[in-house]
Amino acid sequence: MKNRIKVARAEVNITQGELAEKIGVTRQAVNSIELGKYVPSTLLALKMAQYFGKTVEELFMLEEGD
Amino acid sequence: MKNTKFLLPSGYKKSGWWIFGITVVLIILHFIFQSQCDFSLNNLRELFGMERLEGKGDLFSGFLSSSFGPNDDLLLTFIGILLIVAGIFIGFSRNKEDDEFIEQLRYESLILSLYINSGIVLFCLIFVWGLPFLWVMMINIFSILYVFIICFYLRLYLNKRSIRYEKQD
Repeated sequence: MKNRIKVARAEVNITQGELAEKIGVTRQAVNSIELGKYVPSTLLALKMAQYFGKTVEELFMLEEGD
Repeated sequence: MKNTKFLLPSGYKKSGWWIFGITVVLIILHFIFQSQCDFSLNNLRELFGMERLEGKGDLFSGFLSSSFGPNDDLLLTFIGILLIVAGIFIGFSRNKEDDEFIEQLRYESLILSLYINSGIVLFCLIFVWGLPFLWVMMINIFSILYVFIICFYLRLYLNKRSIRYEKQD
């Protein structure tokens, strides 16, 4: 699964730490999600989408083989 | 989002490390002074003149006398209890920053520790024989708990280190 979290952060100009604070997780979590090392829960994905004002499908995309 | 239902409050972690430190000191003292001190039941009986240790008296004293032989080393038992309590406090108390990612790390570390501990026991079963195997069995009581603690905190540290050098853009 790939994601556009980094792009979305750049659009609103916030750091990983700031995003983590806004949605109530650690910076490690945000970093791992961006690098594709960790798949967030539905709740966390929805919180991220709500924060950026986008849909979950705009932030997270399935890849071949998923 | 985070499921910390079975975890202890984060304050227990500090207590756990204190208990662990005291236990390590007791272990070192026990091995240094083993020949000179005898913390067996017989010795305690002499020290405190406690008739209850001979099975006389109430239900509690009866339990004591049936659980321990007269020459069992009570200090080792006490050390064992402290090691388990310390391990549980350190390994299963909440972190200051706990989220679903840390929870996932904890879960994976638990599984990894099971694999590692099983591997160690398997190796010892094949290559350790006779009386030394008694040490293997004794250490195996605590090893899974402490292997889990090492796995979890190592993964936490490696994760923190990997993001430390990343530009926070």
